[in-house]
Amino acid sequence: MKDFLPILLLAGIIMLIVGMAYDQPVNAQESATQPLQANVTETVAITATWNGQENGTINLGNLPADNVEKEWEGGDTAEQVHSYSNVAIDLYVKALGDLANGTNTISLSNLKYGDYGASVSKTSFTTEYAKVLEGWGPPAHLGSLTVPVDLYLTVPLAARPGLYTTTIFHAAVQANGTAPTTP
Amino acid sequence: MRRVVVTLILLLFLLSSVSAVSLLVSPTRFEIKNTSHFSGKVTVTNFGNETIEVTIDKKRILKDKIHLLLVDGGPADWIKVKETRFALKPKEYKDVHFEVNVPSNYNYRDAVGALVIRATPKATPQSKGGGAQFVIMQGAEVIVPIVIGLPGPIKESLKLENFKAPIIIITPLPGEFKYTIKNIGNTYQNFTGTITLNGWFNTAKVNSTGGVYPGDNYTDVITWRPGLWDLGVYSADAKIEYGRYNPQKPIEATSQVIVIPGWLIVLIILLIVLRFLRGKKIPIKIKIERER
Repeated sequence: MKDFLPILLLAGIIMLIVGMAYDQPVNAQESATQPLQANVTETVAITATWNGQENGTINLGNLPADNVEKEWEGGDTAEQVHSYSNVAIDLYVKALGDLANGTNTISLSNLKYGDYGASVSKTSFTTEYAKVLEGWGPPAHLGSLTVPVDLYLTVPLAARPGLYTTTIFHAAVQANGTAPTTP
Repeated sequence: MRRVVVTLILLLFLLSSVSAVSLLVSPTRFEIKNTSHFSGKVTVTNFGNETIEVTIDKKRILKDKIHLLLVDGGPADWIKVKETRFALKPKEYKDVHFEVNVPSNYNYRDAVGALVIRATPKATPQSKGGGAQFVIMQGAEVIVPIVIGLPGPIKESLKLENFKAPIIIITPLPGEFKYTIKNIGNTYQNFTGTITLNGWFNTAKVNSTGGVYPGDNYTDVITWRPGLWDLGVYSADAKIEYGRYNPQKPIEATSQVIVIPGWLIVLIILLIVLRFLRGKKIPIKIKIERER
């Protein structure tokens, strides 16, 4: 037994050293907490869809030059505007200019809009901003708002065949955003 | 195999025709107070699925009940934007830095400029087939106002440029009263315009609010829809109250409007028709058939 005593002593010392090396302080077993915060800023976010797709191109297709007004009623299968803003917005509409095919043009007054879910009367596009919605939204938390846009186009008699294009813009500004908040 | 190829071609065709314009801008406005120099940044994000072309313009805002005009000059000249044209891929964003430097000789205390952030689709329309085809490109704009407030003496003063009342209102159609005021002071002014309509039998009041920057005009339109029993000559008294720092003497103007009820017109027409029919003495023919 005496022969084993140094070995047992050595084993005890080794176990003590290993035990101390693996010993963890009591407070390390508590979960470390870090406060995390982020400030969500005010945001204006709009998009327009045509035929249910996020589409930058409204393709009205081939139309006869018959001087008859055609209508595309706003909705899932036509034009809609959506707001994902977290503030109320005023929405305006304008166009870049006449529908043009090279030097051939069709007056912008032949292209009209209406409704916007607010009984906006049928009005010709102009190159100036025209207000269509005031104080629109904001949508519910994590939600969105959608309005239908009716479009109308009259192709005058004898309009030359070809591809006619223009660009329409929906412009958003925070409601009451242009006024100072305090004196 | 042929079906797969056709499906792939159709899919490629559809994908090529889709170009989203989804524009997100934050923050939505800036308000600079008591300093003539400001540096800021606005974050522009493409939250759609297609690449967009973004252009940033700097403008002066002229805004009233009817108009939104973005013009050059004034505050537009004080803003400098570092990058004014770039493309954004889907889900990509960019911080756009800008500076505002108000010239020392600016006479007013308040002004408003704007960053006009415009997104257009990168794709261009292509002709497909013959005949007259119509393709309308869609763009999105976000206008970020930069409201500037400077220190200095305060002068509050509004001037009525004109006041127009309709001559006749035929109910149930509404009447529109329009007035234009000019801010001849040096501070932004909030105002409340009230139109009081005093008639033979009734009195009505309609009002509206607005705000106008120094040096600018504001055109306000107030709509009045007369009731069923409104009738006769009404005096339309406009009163515009303002005073952002201290209440100022209201601006007043008067006009007249004649209200004619639609039901009265219908009644008169009916009476005329009845009188006409009686005057003609149209015999009433009654045929009695005797039973045989």
